Amino acid sequence: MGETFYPWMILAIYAALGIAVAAVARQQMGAGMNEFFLANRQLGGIVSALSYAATTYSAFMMVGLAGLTYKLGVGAFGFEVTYLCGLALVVFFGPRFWLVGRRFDYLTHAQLLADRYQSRAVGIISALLCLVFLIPYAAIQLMGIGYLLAGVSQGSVGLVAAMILATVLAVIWSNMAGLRSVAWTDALQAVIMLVSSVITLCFMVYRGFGGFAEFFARMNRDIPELLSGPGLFKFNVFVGLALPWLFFSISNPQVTQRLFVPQSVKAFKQMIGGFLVFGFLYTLVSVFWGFGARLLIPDLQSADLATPALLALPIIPRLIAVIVMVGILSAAISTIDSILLSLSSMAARDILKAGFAAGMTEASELRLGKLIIPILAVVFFVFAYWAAGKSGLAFMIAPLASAASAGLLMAVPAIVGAFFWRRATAAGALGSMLGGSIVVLILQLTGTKPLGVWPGVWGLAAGILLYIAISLFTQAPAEKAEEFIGYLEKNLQKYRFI
Amino acid sequence: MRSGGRAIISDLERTADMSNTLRFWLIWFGFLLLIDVLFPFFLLAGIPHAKGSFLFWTCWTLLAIGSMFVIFLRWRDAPTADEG
Repeated sequence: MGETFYPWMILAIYAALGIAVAAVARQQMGAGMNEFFLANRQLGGIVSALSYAATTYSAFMMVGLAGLTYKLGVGAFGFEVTYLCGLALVVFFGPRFWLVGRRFDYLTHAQLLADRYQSRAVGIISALLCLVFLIPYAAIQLMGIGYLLAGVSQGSVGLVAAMILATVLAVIWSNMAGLRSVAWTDALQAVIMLVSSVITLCFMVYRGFGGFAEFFARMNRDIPELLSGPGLFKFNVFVGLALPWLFFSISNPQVTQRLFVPQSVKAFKQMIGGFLVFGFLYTLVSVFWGFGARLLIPDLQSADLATPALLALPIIPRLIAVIVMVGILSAAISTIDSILLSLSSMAARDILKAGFAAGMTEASELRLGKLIIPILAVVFFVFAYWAAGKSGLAFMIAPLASAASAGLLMAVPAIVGAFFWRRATAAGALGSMLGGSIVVLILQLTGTKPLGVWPGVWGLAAGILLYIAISLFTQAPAEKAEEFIGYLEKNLQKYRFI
Repeated sequence: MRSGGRAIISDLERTADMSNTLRFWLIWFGFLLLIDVLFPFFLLAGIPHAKGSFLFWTCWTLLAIGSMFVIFLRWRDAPTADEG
């Protein structure tokens, strides 16, 4: 009775706290699409930073990255910090998104592309790509939650129950006040994620090894093969995993949408700085978990069990283990609700309104967007439920997440070109997104890796070639390109952006 | 194709005012990305110790994050009076 009651009680407190925060956020909510999906572009720096961190870092970190470290060693750290430093792209592109977002009132990056290339088709295809590739990514979050909660609660919270709980909370928090409730609950969840993981690390290091000096000594002595060079990573695997993540910050809509929302340059700076500090700490903690699990429980059958097995050890107090479970649940839900919000805004504006009902009123568009949120959530849940039953898909969350990101990578040439290349055309953008995605899908579905290189790398190469070649032979939207890039050239210096 | 090539060069020339700073930082981050892969795979492969790749990637990350701070700490909300 006690063992079953304990995890459910903590989960209930967590859910009630989140709902209370979302309710407070709702009191500040105004009307309209910008208000619901972008918090009226008025988020402060600290909330933006925590929300950016919670959205970016999912169940993948504490489950997938720890598992990858457990299995392949220090290369997992290199792969993740390569992603973190991909935030350099936000330093270059973030101000550009922010400026044109305010000037042209963009809600999503698909809308930005449609307007910049003067083509509804570009916006629709870009939004469809996000839908197709983010469904498995969101489903992976649910699967991660299911496995973890079932493991840590020792079965008192079942796999399906955990997935249902996460789906319901994500829908409630995204529907209550749109981005305001998502950002505020994200901020709360980011704090839970970091604090609970650091406390667990301290218990693991001090109770399991006697301190950091002995922890490192044991690493050097017992697992030198995981510390040598990139560990057990092969070069192609490292590049294949790292490349999609490197461009994550400008290819994933739930993240690019965050570039529209800081209320000022100061808030933008706080968002980037806060995220970098958070990301570095959270990455270190996740990697240490992986190494610690490898030293303490070296014979696990599956690397993705590293975290649940670690939390089940007697050196981690039961209360702490359950709080960490909530921390990882937070990481996953904060990612899922942001994805729900981004995809529903894209489905309403970039697919349905742009494609079928140009005259739709903003109120109808907003109602439609809100209606799409639970529908998408059900799709995520069904996909996760189906995939959780397949042993071939259920292991190694990290490569699965990276495969989903590889598909989103195909919008990168069109996004980069939109800001820098006046000669770029809608046909080039379409050819690049479609051609690159087809290459990725074919290679992923057939399990083919020509020359040992991963699908995302081939897809991006094909996309870049198609983008440049087709653009050179087709007509560019010269007037819009001049207006768009000309506006940036005039205003970037004003804010000392580079 | 030839006119397309000229168009690309023309585009680059039009952004020449901005490109010196941008070019510097792009080269710098490109360099960081290169050593991010080359050092662990080719230079540190024989060091089975936390003082090898783990220390390298820790320092590399701090350097990259520091570089980003250098860039964005200059940003400002509005021009100062003396700079118009």
